[in-house]
Amino acid sequence: MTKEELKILLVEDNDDHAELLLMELEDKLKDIELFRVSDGEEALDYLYRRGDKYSKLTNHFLPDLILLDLRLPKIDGIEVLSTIKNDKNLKKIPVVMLTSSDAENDIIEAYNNYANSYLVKPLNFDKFSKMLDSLAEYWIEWNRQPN
Amino acid sequence: MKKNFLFILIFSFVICRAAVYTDTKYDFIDKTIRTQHYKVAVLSNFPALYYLDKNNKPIGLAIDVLNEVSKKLGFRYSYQIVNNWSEAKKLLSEGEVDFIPGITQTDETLGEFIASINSIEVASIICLVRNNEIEINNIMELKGKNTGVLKGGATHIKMKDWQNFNLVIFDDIDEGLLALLSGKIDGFVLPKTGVIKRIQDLKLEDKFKIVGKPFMEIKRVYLFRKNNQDLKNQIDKALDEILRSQFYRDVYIKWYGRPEPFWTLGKVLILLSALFIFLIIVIFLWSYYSINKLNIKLKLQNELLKENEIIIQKQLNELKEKNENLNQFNYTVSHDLKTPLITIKGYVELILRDLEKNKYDNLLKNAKKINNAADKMQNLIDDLLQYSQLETNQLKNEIINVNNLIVEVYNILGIAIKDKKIKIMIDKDLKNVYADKNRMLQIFKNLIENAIKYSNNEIQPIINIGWTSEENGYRTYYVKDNGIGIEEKYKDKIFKLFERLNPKIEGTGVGLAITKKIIESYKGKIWFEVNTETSGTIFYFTLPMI
Repeated sequence: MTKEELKILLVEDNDDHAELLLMELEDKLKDIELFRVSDGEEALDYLYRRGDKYSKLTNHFLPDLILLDLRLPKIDGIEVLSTIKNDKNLKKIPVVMLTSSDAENDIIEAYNNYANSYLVKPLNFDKFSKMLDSLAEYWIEWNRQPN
Repeated sequence: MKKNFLFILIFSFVICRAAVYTDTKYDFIDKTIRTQHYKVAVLSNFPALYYLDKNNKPIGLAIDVLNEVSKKLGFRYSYQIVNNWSEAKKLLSEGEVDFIPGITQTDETLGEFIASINSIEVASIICLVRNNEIEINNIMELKGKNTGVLKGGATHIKMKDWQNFNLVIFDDIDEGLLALLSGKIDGFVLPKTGVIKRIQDLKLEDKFKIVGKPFMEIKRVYLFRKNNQDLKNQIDKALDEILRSQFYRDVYIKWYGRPEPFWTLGKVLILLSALFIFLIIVIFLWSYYSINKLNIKLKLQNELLKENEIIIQKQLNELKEKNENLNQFNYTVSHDLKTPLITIKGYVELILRDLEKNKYDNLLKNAKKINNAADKMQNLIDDLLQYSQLETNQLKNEIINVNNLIVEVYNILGIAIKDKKIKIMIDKDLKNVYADKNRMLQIFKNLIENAIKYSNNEIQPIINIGWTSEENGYRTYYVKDNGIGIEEKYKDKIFKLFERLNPKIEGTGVGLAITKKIIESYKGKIWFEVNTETSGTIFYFTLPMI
């Protein structure tokens, strides 16, 4: 089993948080391809390849993993999560919710909407890498082609 | 054959004889009478023996008895109507009539005529006076006074020789009664039976009274000429039977019977029914009235309850809204206030890591990030404080000229306006509002600041400020821009605390929330429409006008 390049969609409105996250990801995981959007609407536009910006994007990819901030402008994180998990083509993509709060209600709501994991900022990256590893394996298992 | 014929003859005779016998129930009847037609003299008005009905046909006790007599004896008769006894007797003596079927028997009449043994009535002669009479207590006290009698009556005949009695003679009872009432006479001496009946008929019972004892008794008999003894005998026989029969009792009661008492069973029943109905109506009205009263009371209480319910519902809604606001406040504080903190923590960790490795390349850049995040946090806290103070701070309402207010806003936002080369167009007369000045300043500042912040860099930014209409004490103002615009679907979201549509533009997401809260505290409204000409936004809001 060889690790392929991990394709990640990061949905994060805060530039600083996005930068911090990216730095950590690059530090821990060598082969990643990351695409970042800054709100819920954009995230869905990207996934569905719609709107002026994404319908003609040449290097578009469907992510192996979505890092989704809970609180987003325009369309909220939970709504984006719910849309993804209710779409038969998208629901297999693991989604990790990112949030600045560890309020119980947020966690329950995220799991109720079939979030695959949940991460409270400030980011604990050791834990994060471990999680990424298991998620990557899970994803590969999911997509394994029958021999 | 001969024998048979004889038998039939005898049988027929027996049958016929029996038939004749059955027909002549009264075997005393002289067969000559049966075929006779008699003329009889009757009085036109002598209650209760003689009256005339509407058709001037004689009626009365004497007529009923005569009719029965004629039926028994089988004769027919016709009337000669006269006005008084004298006339009647004259007709009898002259042979114009055959008999008088009821007349007072006096010595005088007996001299000239013969009377039936049977009398059809016996009457007492009484003395009638006015009801209020006090001097006259018997007939003798009428001496020296005017005394009424009936012409040719028994009393007349008897009293005409009495000394010192001024007799006034009347043709009929009514005349005498009227004379008594008018004071022409002071007493009226006459047979009791007839006058009592007449007084009852006239309903004058309370006008007269009888004084003293009856001073004589008279008999009403049939009167015949002396040569008519045979007829007298026949009629006496018939009368003898009639007077003992139920028929006589019935006709006597018919003509002398007292009028029905006023309080008959029927009347009592009607009165009771009327009372009953009245009672029912009273009860019905009373219950209707009390039910109505109760209903009104209930209605009032219902209304009161409804009002209370509305008030409670309103308070509940307010509480709910406050609770929601609080929840949102809590949520946003726990999420959004932490955001810059996370940034600070993240970059501090980076710096620490770099320092451990003696790397200094990114130190300045990361420190700046920390500084910015700290600033942002400062702004957030300031705005949050401002937002939460909206509830507690006292309002100082006054008349504010909106044009002057805009000038102040212009001074505050001057640098930003100049930087972005924004053209601000203000209506000449924005009029006055009655509100707290600082709050109004916040509203206009937030909205204009918003318009500046989200202006479209590619065209000349223009902001218009004016008003459109006045209604129910509120004036609708607007702030219109030709900026990047807001999509219709975010119309609710943008007024929420910390909600931001564009993360790339600086801001805390508190401004519109504050603006909405202030406007709502004045019971106004705020909404936005897409500026269709420029794809910008028009914010409308209502404020209490003067």
